[in-house]
Amino acid sequence: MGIPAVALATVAAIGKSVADIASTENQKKAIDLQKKQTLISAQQKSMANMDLMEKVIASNQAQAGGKGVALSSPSLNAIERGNYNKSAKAGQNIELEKNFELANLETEKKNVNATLFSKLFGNAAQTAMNYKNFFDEKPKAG
Amino acid sequence: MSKDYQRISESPILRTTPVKSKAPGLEAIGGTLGQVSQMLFQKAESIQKEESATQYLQAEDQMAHAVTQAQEQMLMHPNQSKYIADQTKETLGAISKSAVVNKQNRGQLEYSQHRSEDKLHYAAVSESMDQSRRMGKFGFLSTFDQTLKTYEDYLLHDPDKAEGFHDNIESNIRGLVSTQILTPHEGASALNAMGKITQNIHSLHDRFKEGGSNAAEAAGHVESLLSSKELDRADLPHDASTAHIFDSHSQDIVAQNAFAKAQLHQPFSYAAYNKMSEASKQKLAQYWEGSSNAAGLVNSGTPYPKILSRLQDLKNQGKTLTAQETAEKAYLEDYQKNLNNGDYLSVAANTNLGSKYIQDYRRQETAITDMNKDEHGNLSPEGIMQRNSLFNDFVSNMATLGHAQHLPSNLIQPLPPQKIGAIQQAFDAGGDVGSALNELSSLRSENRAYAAQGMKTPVQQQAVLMAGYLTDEKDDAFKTRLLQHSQTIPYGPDGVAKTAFQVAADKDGKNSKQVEYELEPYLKDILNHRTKSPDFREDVAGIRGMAMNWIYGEAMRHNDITMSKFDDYAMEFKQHASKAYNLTNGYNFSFNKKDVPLDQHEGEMVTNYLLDKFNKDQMRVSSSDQVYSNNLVNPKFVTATPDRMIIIMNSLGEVVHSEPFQTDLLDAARHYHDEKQKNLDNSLFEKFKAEWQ
Repeated sequence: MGIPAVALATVAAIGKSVADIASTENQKKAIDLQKKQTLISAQQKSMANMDLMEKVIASNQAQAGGKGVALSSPSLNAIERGNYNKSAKAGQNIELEKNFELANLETEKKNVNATLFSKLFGNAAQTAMNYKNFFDEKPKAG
Repeated sequence: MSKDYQRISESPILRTTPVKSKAPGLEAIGGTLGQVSQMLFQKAESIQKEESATQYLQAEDQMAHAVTQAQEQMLMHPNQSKYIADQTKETLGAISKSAVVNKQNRGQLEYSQHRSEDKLHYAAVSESMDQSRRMGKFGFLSTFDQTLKTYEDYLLHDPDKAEGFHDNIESNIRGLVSTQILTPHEGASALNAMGKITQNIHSLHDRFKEGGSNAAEAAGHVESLLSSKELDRADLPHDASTAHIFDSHSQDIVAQNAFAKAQLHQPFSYAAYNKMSEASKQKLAQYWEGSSNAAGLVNSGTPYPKILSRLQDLKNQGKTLTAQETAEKAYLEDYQKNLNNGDYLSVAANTNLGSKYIQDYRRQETAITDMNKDEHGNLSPEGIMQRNSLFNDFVSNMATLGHAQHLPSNLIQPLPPQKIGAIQQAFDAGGDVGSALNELSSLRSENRAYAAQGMKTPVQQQAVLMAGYLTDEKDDAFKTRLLQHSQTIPYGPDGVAKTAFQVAADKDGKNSKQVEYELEPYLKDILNHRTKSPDFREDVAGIRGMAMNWIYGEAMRHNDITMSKFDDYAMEFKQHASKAYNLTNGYNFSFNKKDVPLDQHEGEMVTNYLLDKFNKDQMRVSSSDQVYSNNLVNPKFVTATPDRMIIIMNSLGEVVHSEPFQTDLLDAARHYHDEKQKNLDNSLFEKFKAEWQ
């Protein structure tokens, strides 16, 4: 009676490992997706930043033109440089944020792998232990 | 810069949304599967456990069965316990080994296997211990009987050793009890048995010591107790099937034998005594007590008349006797019967002094015979003399015993039957008269009377008596003829020659009446003397018969059937007879000097001394007037019997006093006479003196 139960139990234990692996793959996929999202989000943010800077510059040029300020005016140039700098700083921040998130996700992925490894190892160890217990309990001729 | 720039941001930024994956579902599946696996493993484990437990229980059961079987076998074959234990150990090992169990149960199984093995081993050891104990017990109990016997022996013969023996056995029993070979109860019983024997012997000793028996006698009896090996069935019914019908005590001959012996104060079987019930022991003790009283009465030298009167008392009581009195009566009757049967020696031998005399005599006789034997085994003349002297001393001693007890003289016969037989044979037809005379002369004068008394007829008695008197006179021819003429067949008025004399008597001879009549003057002195003795009729008839035999015998010898020389024959007889009866006579005494060597004067002195003493004794119980008047009416006469007893007789021929003659009697009489004479002289002197003044 014991042996079929042990076989079933072994199948179940393997099933558990398989499920664990599948679950890990899914988690990894989710993390990749998150990565992509993050990348897209970061690009969108940088695009928006650039758009904003172009609009500001265009507006400034329009106003300067309206006011009769030559486009070669140094003040205007200075203002223009200031705007560039601001935009560049925002762009840098977005880049930094993107990098942080990607690094996080990379860590997460590593975690998932480690968890899987540990789970699989644990399962194997548990099963081995169960086997040992089982065979310890198994009656033998002296 | 301004909020306008914000407002004009027209490209919306993607908002990050958390990604949902299938992972948690899969994890849930994995967890469930894990749980299932765990449960299954647990289930499988429990199934295995149950299986093992079942096997374990089976093995346990088999082992228990094997152990039980082994114990049964051990009970049936205790002597093979060790082998059975070894075999079972192997069986247990096999069971344990073949059992399919898990590790835990394996341990348990091994534990219980070892425990069972230990248990069996212990049982085997204890069984073999038990067995050796049983053997030890058997050894002890099977020899205990012998031990008890040895102990009895020691108690009876060697009390000092008995004590040590008892101590040894006791410590032995203690050891056996402490090693459990004997149970405390058995040990106590064994000690009890020894104690009981001690008690029995003590009580036996006590009972022997009671009344009459002295230490020597008791020792003698106890000595002979163990020698009487009788059947050990005292106090038991002869047949179990009839036990309820009969009084076992009256049926059992051994107990009866013991009772009879106790009544006669003879040693009875100790085994019988030991087996008896307490009631029978009591009865036996009462018999013993009674016979002890009687034996004491007899052995303490109580005068025979007193013994007879006691016996008469007992007889008069008829059937109202107690056990003691029954035994006393039986003993006294036996005593009297033995005496009347002439069994004086065996009666005397029962007394302390008598048995001592017999022992001394036998010892000394052996010594004399051994010392005086030549190489051919013949006694030297000196040896013969010594032996004769010893024998005569013995006879005198034995006779004195009887006289001391005032036995009638006719009952005292201290000579052994062989001696009497050797003399008696002279009177058979053609008997050897010479050897009879030799036997007679080997006896001392005072003992010859006993030889005479042992003869069958009065005539023979008187012939031997006269021959005895004449032993020192050297006229052997007369003595030989005297005895020959008294022989039963050839001579005498009743003999074969009777007819011839009768025929002759019708012509000019003498018939027997005439012979008797004419013989009377020649016998006058002797008959005169003899008629002064008690119970003289037989003696007188014997003397007459002897004289007649002599006359007829002589007449036959001379072929003188007409008795022409009657006077010669009678004269010869008288000459010798007066040598034999050398008489000293007085008005109140008559002695034969052959019996007591007293001359006329001495005879008077002794007679006066004895009569005065007798009268003085009488005056203790009656007044002097009565004594004197009694003496006038019933004068006393003093004489001596052939066995050297001085007797005082009254005129009715009754012996009122008797004592053995000894030389100190004469001394005492002489002294008494002198004193009396002196007193008489003094009183006469005083009388004369008074008259002179």
